[in-house]
Amino acid sequence: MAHGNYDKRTPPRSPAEILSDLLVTLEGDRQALSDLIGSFLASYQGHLQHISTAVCTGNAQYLEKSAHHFKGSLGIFCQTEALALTQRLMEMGERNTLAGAPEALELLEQEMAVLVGTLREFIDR
Amino acid sequence: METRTDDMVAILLVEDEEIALQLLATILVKKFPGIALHFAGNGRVGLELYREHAPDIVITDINMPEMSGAQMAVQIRKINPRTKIITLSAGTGNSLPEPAGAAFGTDYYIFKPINFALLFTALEECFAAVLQAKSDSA
Repeated sequence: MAHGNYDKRTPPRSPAEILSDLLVTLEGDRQALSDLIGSFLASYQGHLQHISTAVCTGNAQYLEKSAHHFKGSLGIFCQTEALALTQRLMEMGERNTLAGAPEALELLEQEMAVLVGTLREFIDR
Repeated sequence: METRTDDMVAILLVEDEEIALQLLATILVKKFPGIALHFAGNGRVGLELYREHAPDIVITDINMPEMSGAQMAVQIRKINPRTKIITLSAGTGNSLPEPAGAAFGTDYYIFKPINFALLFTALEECFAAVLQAKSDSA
């Protein structure tokens, strides 16, 4: 493999597929993966709260920053709708155009409920 | 973190998102148990650790507070141009130079979400180059 830019993006996978792949990468260490999921579950509501505050106060810069920060951890477990919505909110903040942000946030909260269910199911299994 | 010996490869991992850092550190130690691993939450601390430990390989996020991965990579290149640098980024397209990574002289650029097979391949190539350089200078 030549040095350079590895701009190969993998197709989006479902959270269940991501967990399965991460478990293989972690050499079957279910406890290590459960610990990571636990860290995410302990922090995601705080991230959502920051995004919500930014949307409610119309603070575009804070929205960009908080959505960007959330995207970093969310992207580990989710590559589908919730990640796309977080990306959209971040871009709204970047462009300083928050029209549609409350609706995107509401959809993100709904998607997060589904994702959290999948993650909790993995831990409880 | 293990005490580093002459033939041990040292990696500096720089990532501002705590869970991503935790995941990468866990995976790297499992996959490459012989490495000495240092980690930092932003480019400024990363650069301080680089100066202190002179790691062979740097794996870094781009967008971070205080000092970005790109700014850190430029400084590291000035200290030691031979350091292997792997950048990881979501690459939203409006914050990266084109071609991505080339402007700040990184060896590998990997998009997030991370394809670990690509990261491992990049690391194995880095290990081979680092060990060859150590052997040549012995």
